[in-house]
Amino acid sequence: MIVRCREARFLISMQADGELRAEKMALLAEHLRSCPSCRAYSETVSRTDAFLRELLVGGQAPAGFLERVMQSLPALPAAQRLRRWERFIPALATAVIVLLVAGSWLWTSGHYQAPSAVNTPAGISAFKVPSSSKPGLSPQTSSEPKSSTLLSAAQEKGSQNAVPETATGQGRPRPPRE
Amino acid sequence: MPPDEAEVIKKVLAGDRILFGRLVERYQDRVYSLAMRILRDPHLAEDVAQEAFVRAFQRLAQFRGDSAFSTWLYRIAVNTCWEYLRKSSRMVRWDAPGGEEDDGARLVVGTALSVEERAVKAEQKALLWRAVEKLPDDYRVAVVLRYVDDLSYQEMAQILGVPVATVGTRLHRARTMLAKMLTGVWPGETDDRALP
Repeated sequence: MIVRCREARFLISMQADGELRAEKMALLAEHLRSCPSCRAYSETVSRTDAFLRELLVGGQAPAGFLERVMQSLPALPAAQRLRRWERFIPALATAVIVLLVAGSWLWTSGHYQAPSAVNTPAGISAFKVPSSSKPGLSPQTSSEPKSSTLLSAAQEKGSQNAVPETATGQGRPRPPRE
Repeated sequence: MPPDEAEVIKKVLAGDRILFGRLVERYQDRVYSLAMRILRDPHLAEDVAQEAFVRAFQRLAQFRGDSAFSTWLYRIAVNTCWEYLRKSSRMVRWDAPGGEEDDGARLVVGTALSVEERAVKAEQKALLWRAVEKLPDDYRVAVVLRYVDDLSYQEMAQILGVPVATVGTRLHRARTMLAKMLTGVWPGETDDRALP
């Protein structure tokens, strides 16, 4: 394969950068043997390259640069705050799952103990945790009239405001008529 | 990426911002030199280098380790330089006799210099530096990156966000232009207009 001068000069540049593969290097060497013009160009590139290295390599940051950079750093990047938050996601997910499982277990166990007595005081008591099983917690007993009063009031109100399903089957709750 | 560097980055991301100083210490000279050679203004270069480190700190969580940390950091530094170049309109002004159409190819430094001056190495360096400054920004940035940290085409392509082939082309054209601008400074065939 014959390499023309234009391509040869591109290869000379790549060679100067250490990016020329062996097979191309052989082609270039072959061209340079027969082309004095490209040989001269190659020497120019080598000389320029050596000077550029001396010119561009090195250089020092001004004194106190490190301190100035450190002083100008923001307190905590938002992205990093996100990463901190992300680290708690597995623990939070576990906690949520445990709560859900425990909650559903409590709900289903209470529900099946008295499925038909929800509206009765006994039904309410079915949701209560026996004081003996939770010694650290204050037992929810009949001495707490607030919750039972509210519940019974709500039940009473619900029965008054109950709207029977219509023939159309809409059955949407409506505000009570005055 | 050095293993200790990966560890430092991990700790910085975990909240130890003081350790970021180790990274600054390691790369401050190269980032400053890069900015200095692109912007050609020491005060501006310092500001830009500082800004580049602050941005790197802010975006450290985005660094995935796909490339070397230095490559990632240089990319931030080069992009910050570009922003300043655009803002401050510090684009290269072509004052070569041939103007832009001639690609600045005929700075003809040789005509303004005596034979004695050309013999002085220091003067040659000064001329080369002036020639580098005359390069279009794209080419000058490529040349600076090539020599500041001896980067490969692959690394430079990542920093500049261009294909690897484009890096080779820019460096080749930069060299051709430099060779033309330095006609007479050192002997050699540089004119490729009539090449086969």
